[in-house]
Amino acid sequence: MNGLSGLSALLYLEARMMVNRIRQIMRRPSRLILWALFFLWFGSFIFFKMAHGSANEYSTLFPHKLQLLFVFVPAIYVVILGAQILIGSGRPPAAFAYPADARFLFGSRLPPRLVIFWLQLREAFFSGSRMVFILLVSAWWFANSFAGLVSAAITLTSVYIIAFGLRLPSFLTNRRYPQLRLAWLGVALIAVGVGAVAYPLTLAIGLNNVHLSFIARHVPQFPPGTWVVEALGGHLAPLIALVALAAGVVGLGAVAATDAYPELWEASARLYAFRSLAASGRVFWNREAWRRLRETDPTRVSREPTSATSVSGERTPPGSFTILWKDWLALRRAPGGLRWPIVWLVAGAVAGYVAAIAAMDYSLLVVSVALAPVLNTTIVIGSQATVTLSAEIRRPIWWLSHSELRNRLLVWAASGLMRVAPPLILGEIVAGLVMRNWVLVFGAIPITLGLLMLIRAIGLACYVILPGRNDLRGPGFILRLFATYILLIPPVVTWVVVQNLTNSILAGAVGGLFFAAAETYGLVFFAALRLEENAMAFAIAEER
Amino acid sequence: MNNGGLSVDHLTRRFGKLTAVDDLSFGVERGGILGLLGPNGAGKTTTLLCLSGLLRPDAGSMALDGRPLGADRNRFVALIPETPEVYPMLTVWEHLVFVAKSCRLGPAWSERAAELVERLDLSDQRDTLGEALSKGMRQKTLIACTVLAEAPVMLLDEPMIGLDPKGQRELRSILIELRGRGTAVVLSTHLLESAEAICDRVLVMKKGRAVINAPIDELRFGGHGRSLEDVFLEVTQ
Repeated sequence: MNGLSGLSALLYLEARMMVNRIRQIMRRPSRLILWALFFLWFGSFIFFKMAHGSANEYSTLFPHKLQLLFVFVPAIYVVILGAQILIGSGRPPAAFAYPADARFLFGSRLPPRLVIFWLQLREAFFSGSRMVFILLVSAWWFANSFAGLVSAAITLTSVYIIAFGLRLPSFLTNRRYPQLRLAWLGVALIAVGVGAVAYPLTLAIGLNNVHLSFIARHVPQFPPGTWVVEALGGHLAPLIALVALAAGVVGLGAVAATDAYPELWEASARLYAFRSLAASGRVFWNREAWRRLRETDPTRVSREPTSATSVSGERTPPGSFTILWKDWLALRRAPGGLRWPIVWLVAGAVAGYVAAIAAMDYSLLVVSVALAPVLNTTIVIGSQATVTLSAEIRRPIWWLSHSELRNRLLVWAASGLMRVAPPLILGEIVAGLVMRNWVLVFGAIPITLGLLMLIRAIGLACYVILPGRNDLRGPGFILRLFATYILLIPPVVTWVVVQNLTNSILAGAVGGLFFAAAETYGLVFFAALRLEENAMAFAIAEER
Repeated sequence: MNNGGLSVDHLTRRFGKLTAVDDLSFGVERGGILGLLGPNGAGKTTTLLCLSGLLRPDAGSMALDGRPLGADRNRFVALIPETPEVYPMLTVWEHLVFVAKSCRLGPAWSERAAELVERLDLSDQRDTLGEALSKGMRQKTLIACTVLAEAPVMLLDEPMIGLDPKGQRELRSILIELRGRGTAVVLSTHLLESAEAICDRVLVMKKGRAVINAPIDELRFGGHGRSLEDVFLEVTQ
């Protein structure tokens, strides 16, 4: 098998996948309407902004104020390179992109060097595309020129490829020459980079360390960090040097990778499992998720507990509440047991105490202004928390139940609050006790649960309209957030109106909560209507 | 150990404290089908992954026709894994085209590919994308691709699971044809009847070790009329 025919096979693979993907998208053009509107609006915005960019900033994407921060870039890049060498010396990168690569690339008769080269090239292409997209999306803030945009995209892609491309040669070198102790080189680079970044901070607190001063003076003068800064500043020569270095790193990895398939495959298999779990939004706190991850890392088999004392079932709640019981068991049996929930409870109590002290020391307005972003972030995260029902729908424990689907969905929504609600509620109760605000103390549980349940119900309602995870990205994200805010308005308005009419906070709160509960039930009812007798179609659409 | 076909010597693979494959030695002649049997967790899949090059063994060696198999063994050994994974954005036919191109098969490949598609009942799915295929169809696609590649050693991990009865029968007949063409086949399965019907030798594993490695006829006739199932249950208890 010569390289040229091998390359043509790989090109065929990539080209066909791209063509089929485009065809697949074009089969349902209605799904593109949101994206088309988004890009039309966004593109015209960027175009007019760039068209009016000042001439003296034409060569660079970044404004001069932002460039002041570039002084830290070389040292930070040294830290990143050191970290990649450190990680790479112990574990290879997950080079394979698809599970099918095990059979079709790995099992083909293509030379391993060619396959590894291709995999790295593919990674470079997709990371470059992502970089361009990220820059485009963030360009509304600082973009001034198309040339600057292109050169920044090339620079950042090269930066990424050099950093992550180092992991494969590091791994192979460490495996072949363990006496070199490459990990120490990584540690040394991290220490030097951190020292250079930390120097201005030590000066700020009145320390002037001679060694740190030496490091801080010299690290910013060495490439590739200096090339990054100059390339971002619009210079062509360092940009070319960075691209050449990136190509060199990719080539080095490919040349060295004659016998690295097994390790690359193991690392990739772990990544597939992680991605699939992350996409289902259940990576960190679900016992089954951890079991599946563990299965892909067989070296951990003997270290992890694989059994638990079975619950007798005498006190298991009946009907739809069995879902709550099941999720409680999963929470208890997650790695670390109840340690993390307890840590979060303590953190919630401390945060409540600090907020209360601040509220007493400063004006309520100051505290409200400080807490507004926290509340907003909670709403944004809550509204975007992926609703995934496919795993539940496929389980017997879900469809064997005799209770109504809407009841099961309500309990499912409530069980999802088991991890989030207790620290928030405890924080509010502690704050209320410290401030002697009894409305906060007694209102913490119903108000928090009411708000979070409504957010979950909104997520569920959005899910039964757009179950596909891909549809909820980009413009779908914005629309869902918009819907959340719109649907949160009625309970708040009800609260305010009732409070003003009755002149009673309690009556206002009861009115607002009543409306929120009714809205929650309505949304869950709507979701149940859509899912009834057709749930598997949603599971399939979600996973597609 | 014989020199013709695949020979495996003292293969060992550990996962931490667990020894999944423990000093395993066996051989499969060219034109022979070895049934790899054993209860769940016996080490069958780990053995196949080591042979295919997807897992690096801690010790042991492999050879094909007396020639040691190293890092390039993916050129000689084809694996059909237990979980059939295909490219979501390639059609069934395009998978076959990719295999033909990557293995540089001769011009007659398309006729053979079309024949395999027909035999495995994939004709209606010829232009279906991988993401839309059922598990059985993905399995059939992988079988067609692997057979098309004409690797001298073929490893199959539970290939019958997910296949319809016609597919199972067709696979059995394909394996018998491959045996006739001199391919060394290792078939891991829990279906003892299938193993009994087509395998020449049987290797029964338990806790990573071989507890039986014998020709099927020897087991059948030396076992005083007992079935393979009886022998299997006795040695794995």
